[in-house]
Amino acid sequence: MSSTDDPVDPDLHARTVNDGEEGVERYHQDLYRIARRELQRMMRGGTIDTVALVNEAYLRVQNSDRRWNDRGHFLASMTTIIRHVLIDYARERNAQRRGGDWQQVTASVLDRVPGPEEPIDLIALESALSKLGERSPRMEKVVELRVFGGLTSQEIADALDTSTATVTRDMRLASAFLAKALADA
Amino acid sequence: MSVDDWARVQQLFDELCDCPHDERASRLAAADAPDSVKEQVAELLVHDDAVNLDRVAEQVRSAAETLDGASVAGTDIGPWRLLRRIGAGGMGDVFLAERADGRFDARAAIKFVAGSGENALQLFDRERRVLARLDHPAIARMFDAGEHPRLGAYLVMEYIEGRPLDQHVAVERLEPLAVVEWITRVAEVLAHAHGRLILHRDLKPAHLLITPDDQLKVLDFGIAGLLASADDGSNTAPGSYTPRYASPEQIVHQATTTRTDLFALGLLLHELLSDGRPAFGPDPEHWLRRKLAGQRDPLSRHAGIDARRWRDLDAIVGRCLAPPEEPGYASVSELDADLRAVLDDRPVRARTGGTLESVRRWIRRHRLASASTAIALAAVLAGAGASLWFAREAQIERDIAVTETAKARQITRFLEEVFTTATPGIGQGPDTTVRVLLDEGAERIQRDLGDRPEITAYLELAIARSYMFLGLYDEAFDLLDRPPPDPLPADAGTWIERAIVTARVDLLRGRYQDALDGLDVLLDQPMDDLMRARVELRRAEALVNLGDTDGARIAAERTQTLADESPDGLTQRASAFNMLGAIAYNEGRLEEARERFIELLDVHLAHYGELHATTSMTLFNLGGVSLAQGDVDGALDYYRRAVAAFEALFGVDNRTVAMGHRAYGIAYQRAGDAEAAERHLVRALTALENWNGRESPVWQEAGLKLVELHLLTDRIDQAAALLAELPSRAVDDLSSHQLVACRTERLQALLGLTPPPTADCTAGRTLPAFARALEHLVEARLASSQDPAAFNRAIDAGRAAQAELSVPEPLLDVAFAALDR
Repeated sequence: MSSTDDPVDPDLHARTVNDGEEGVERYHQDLYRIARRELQRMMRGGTIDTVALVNEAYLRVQNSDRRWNDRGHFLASMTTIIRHVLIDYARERNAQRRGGDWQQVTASVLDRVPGPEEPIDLIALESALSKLGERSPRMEKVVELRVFGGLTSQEIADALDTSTATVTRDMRLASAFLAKALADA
Repeated sequence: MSVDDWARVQQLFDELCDCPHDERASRLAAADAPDSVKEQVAELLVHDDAVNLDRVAEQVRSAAETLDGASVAGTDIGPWRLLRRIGAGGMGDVFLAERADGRFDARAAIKFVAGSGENALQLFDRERRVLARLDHPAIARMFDAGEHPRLGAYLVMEYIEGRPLDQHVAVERLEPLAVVEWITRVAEVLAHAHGRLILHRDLKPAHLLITPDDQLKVLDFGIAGLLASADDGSNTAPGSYTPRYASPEQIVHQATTTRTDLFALGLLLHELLSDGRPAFGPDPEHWLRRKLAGQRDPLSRHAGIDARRWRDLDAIVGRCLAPPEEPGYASVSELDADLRAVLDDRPVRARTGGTLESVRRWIRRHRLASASTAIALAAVLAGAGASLWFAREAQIERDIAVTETAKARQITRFLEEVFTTATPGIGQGPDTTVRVLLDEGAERIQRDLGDRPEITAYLELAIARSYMFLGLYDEAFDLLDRPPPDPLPADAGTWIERAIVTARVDLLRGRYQDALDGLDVLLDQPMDDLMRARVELRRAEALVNLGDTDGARIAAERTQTLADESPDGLTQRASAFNMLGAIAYNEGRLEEARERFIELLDVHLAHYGELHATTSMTLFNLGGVSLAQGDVDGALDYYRRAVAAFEALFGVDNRTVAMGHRAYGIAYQRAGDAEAAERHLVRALTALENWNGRESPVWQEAGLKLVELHLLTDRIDQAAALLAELPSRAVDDLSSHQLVACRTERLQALLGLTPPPTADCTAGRTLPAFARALEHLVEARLASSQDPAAFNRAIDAGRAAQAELSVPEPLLDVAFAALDR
């Protein structure tokens, strides 16, 4: 079966850009839908790799819509959404495990010094990220783009309209902050 | 912690983090900052070497994987447990599943679909009920649908073991006729589905499985449409399809119809007969252009089948793959019949070319006109004094729709396009009459779309209009008879349109005052010029029927002014122009009427040519004016052309055609050719009876015409026989109908068929001079031998009435001349 035998992805059709509030709203709805769909697609495949997901999503939609032509903007927005969707799933999962009574999971990164394969507690991470965001929304964004979207420093700098030096400095402090927050949690 | 403090924290952290560890503490202590800031920086520095972000990213990846791991297999989806993935594609993934509760041994294919919007479930549920109607052994059933929180929206379908049709054909090395046999089986299944208003929309070999026991199973019926409907609305695309087998309308995102499935089936037939070579060439890049242009490769010659049958098959494929503007198969049953003809070695329709082609083409053209506008054609009825016959677009379309099922199917295609555009999952099949489709549509609207008033209002309108075209006026009225929301929504156009159509239905039902009342309310509504032109046009029609000629003229003139200002107002303008011509005729301004109609004829000939309903109506009207002006030869010529066009457009037993023959007959009567006159009047009468029975006033009026002809030519027995069958009561209080009834009653009494009437039915009106002259002629004949005095009185009175005639009646002259001798 050749690749052309595959049904056309409904997203691969041109749309026009809406202006104003409605356009922005619509843009995020569409992104959310794409994110959800990509995540479900991955889950059905048995693996979730948010970095791959964000990039594959971009490859899949880049021809479909002029709105997605700005790669940095797309990746950044998509990453935010993926983070939320993923955390939602993690919460849901916890809720299921605990019979609906969700509690904050405590895990100390420092205590256990996790290796690369050792999973992080996504909910604790989320909580730490939120605290970071209270102090510096930009740093929260930097972490998000790096951790969930796998963006390079240059890409992050472009997406946030700042310098790579700033991004580098933010990442270092943010790392320390997260490590501390996770250790304290 | 304040933002300022955090800025200080960051500043200090940045300064210190690159220092050697042993210097950090002292430099921190020496820093000029609040203690709280220093404390934080100290803590952060402790963690500085512990974690970097890329490591966190790795950990997140691990965490995400553990969320579900590779554990999709074993996941329970409702009562089903996923076993393994058996297919993947852009549209989603398919898993084999078994019953999780082990209650019975059953397997299913669970298809996760790509899009899953907010209202996916709701739409799934609706479509599922539609698909539930597909109960056919060769259609894989759909059991269930739902949405899993992690894996997305899914469909549970019957699991079929088998191999795709193309593989089956290749492996078994099937002969061409065996391939055709399989395609007829597919066509049979499609006919079943289309008859239940369901399209497949994604026919391809992978969806046509041949089971180990040699049974055909069609997969994924209606799924493509369902996927389109499950989308959350952020998508303008009409759903998923497979480019290789996609029809032109799918590619250009138009409504899918039965033709969509026929197109795919044609492609399939081509490929299976050509060792898999696509009909539109090997290069996918050219498919779109070639499909739209109808540039397919012919079937290459194949061994094992004779040349003629091969050409038949090629013609069949060609008809399936016809580009949108060319006629294709009207239904999958037609294709099936042709394929079976090949199998039985009989002639196929695809090559003989249908006699209905011109009708189909006409309908296609006409549909475009009626979609955007509505034309009222006022036709001048020849010879009936001041009475006017208004032929309406609806009557014409109704003529077409009801005359033959084959023609009705064409209208149906239009309806189905209307429906599929708004509600996916509906198609139209040969087993379904237009009426059934409409009832189904109306019911579906109530059931499924009750909560979406804007769509409901529009669809009800579409269906009501279709009812109207079929002559089901009461059904149309009932559907529209619902007050508009107050205040009118932003898309008030639909409601104004509904009011206009309601008025049209009232006009067709003869409720002219109701129509006028409804239209007058609209005059206060804001609307564009074109819409207002249509309102005024209908008002003119109502007014002229209510006898308010001045009011009608004003409304028609307004129509014209408004239409002039609108770029799309051509048809309204033409209709108004026609109406003004008819009014001028009605008021005896014959030259003005003639000028208007001739101008219209030029325009219509240039736009549509001779064989077009609008053109032929103008010809018909010109015949009436010519006759009234005494130009009998001119009238005969116009009527000849009009009748020829009517017959070509509408067939034989049809009201419009009958009215043409009636007028043609009257013109011959005026020309003194009694034989030709009788021929056409008899045809008119027969057609009217076949069309609508004897109840209609039109049949009665045409009957009276024939009676009069018999009387003119001294065939009293024939006249009496027919006269005895004519009712002498008017069906309603329209003055023209009453006049016909009155004349019938008087002639019946005159010939002794009924006792003399107690009251004078003329009710103070003067009968037309021709009617009076004819009565005196009959009196004279009856009195001729026995009562010379009565005879002479009758002759004198007849001569006097004859002198009042505005146009000559040669047969009357001949009759009186014969008596004079």
